[in-house]
Amino acid sequence: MLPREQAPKAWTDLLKPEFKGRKLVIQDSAAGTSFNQMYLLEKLLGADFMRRWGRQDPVIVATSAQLIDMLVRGEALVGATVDHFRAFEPDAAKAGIVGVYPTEGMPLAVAPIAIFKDAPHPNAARLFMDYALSEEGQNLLAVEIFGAYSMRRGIRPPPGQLPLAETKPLLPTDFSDYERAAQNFPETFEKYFRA
Amino acid sequence: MARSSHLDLPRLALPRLRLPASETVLAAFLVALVAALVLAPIIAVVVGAMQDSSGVSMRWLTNVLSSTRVIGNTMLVGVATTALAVLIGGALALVLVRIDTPGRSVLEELVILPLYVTPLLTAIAWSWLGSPRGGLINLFGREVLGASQGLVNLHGPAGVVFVSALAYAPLPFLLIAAALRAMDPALEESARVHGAGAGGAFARVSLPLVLPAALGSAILVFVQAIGLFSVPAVLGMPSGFYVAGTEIYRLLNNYPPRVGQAAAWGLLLLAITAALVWLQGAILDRRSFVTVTGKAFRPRILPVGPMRYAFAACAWLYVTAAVMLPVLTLIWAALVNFLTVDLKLMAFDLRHFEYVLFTYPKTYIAAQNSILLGSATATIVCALGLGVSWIVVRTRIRGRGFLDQVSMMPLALPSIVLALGLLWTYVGLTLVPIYGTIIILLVAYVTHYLPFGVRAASGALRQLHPELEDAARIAGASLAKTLRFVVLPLTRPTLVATWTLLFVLAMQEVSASILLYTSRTTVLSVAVFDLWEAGNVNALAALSVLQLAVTFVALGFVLRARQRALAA
Repeated sequence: MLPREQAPKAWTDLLKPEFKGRKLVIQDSAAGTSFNQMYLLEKLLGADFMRRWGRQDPVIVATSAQLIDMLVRGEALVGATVDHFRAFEPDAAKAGIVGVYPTEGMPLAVAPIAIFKDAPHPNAARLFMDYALSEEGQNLLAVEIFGAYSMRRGIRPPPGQLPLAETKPLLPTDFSDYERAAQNFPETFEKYFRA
Repeated sequence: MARSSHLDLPRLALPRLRLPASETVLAAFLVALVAALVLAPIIAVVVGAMQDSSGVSMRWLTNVLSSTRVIGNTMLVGVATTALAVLIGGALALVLVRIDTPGRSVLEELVILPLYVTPLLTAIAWSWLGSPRGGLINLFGREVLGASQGLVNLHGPAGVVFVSALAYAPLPFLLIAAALRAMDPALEESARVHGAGAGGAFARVSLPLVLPAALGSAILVFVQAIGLFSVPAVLGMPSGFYVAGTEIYRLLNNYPPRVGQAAAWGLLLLAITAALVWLQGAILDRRSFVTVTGKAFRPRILPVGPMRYAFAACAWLYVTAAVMLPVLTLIWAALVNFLTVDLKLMAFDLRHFEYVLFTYPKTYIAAQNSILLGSATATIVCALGLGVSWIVVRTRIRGRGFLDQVSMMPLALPSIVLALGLLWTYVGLTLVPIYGTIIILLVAYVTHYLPFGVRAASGALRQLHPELEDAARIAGASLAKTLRFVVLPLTRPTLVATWTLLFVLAMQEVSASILLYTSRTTVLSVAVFDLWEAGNVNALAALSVLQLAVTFVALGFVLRARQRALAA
């Protein structure tokens, strides 16, 4: 395992030679959240960063749980998870996993909630939605169950995590570009990480 | 059609009416059903691979053909696994059938056990044992032996081939052992009489005669190996080693999914297996291998002196690597709190059994579905197998050759390709709304295991003299009654054994299920894979230990039934 003081502090630290050759873990192009992460990092740090990241020959896993498991079992040193809360879970913390907020910022995946147009029980859905977005619902669903940040004002961050205001969240700005890039994500991922 | 016996009798005199309509109806029904089961998914893969949203397109095929590295990896796994599995299986067959190896009757039962442990579990266990940094073997090497370097690394092509060959070696073993048993010892004796040494006689006479069995089993293994998903997913993907099976899974699970490209991979695998089956026919057609006659032989056992203990040790080594060590590793992983590099942190803990038994929401629904699917698959495959083989063995109806061939085709159809074809067939077919239901899994299982049912039933039927059925028909019984009261009771011992084996095999299926399940139709082996992807490795171990317990109880039942049948 990597000593705490050698943990990378920024995304660009991942390009250091000591992380070359199966030392990093990233997540496969299997989810919208991993598209979100790769898209925002490419926008922020450029295609050159992505290419050099790919040349570090990272381990690719399907899920963030597998990513943490790789670190806990000592198979790799650093993981770029799309679900940051995995790093703060009790078992991960017990096994010595440390969560790092990269200095350039962290891609933020927004989890929306919606009701289908022709939902069979729209009123029940509305009631659930009201509850999910209430203070009690946010504390329970976002913070306690997922360990994620709440967008509602006055909700405390999950235990062990920085307050959202002290982080540098990254969000997409041009949604038509975002949508177009999403359609080609499998090929983009292929180009950077599996060429 | 209720007919009385005295109306039937005069008809028998008329040769043109020798085929009563009920047989034709049964044959037509089976031809239609088997063709729909087997041919529809194949056609769907071909069509799916050649179209995209804009119409007919070669885009997916071009993409696939340009992935030369993945194609190379797939062929490497296919060829190396086949070679190693045939080598291991053939050596085991020799050691247990032709050599006076001590304990060979027990070993013969043990070496086929890997067939009943899904390669997914063997791969997971070996990954814990042999992963480069955190693997138990390497931990042991570092902590106890003080090795600075890792001792083994099973994450990569070598690990995939090693575990796949261990898993599939029983297939060549069964076929080659059967061929060795069926051989007339007089053939070798005549070679000896003409001056060949024992080794020479074996190499020049017996080995060539085993060739069809070796080739046949090689093709079986190869088809499984190039379409393999579970082993490369566990041992290949973490090291960036991708094969066709993992590509198909990835492309379907990608964001957004690339279904057409997955179908193109399926088409490529189909083309390779079709070419191989053709090649096998071409190789075997040129020579005659008829050595199996009506006479029963007892293979000659070669005494090899003290070497026999070394041979026995090798067979035990195989059993240990393929079954015992993986199962023990799973049991151990189920009983510790978590797996980590720091040995001091690991402690005995029953909470994983508690979790999978009482908390994990999928355990019961998956167990229920697996048992339901296992019994339905076994029942339908036995019934279809009996029907198909009866038409093929007992009648001269036109189209029975087609029926025989098509019902054997799934042997050359990697199950992940079959599942892909079923997805394509039924996703848009609102007429048969089975997409996303448990029925589509049942269709996949029945199609995949159909050849086993047909082979087992035709073996049993060939041993029955047709006069028993003729007597029933002459006495006025209908076809249905004859099958029910004559054929079924007489083939029952075979069918019971086949049923149980199919039940056990269906419980292990991963490659097709992984593409077809939904949260409500998940099965045990998929639940195990889910836990793997969820990184919940100890719960995975606990669940698979429970699954193995069910499997081995069922196998114990088969063994007892067989012993009882032998005693009777």
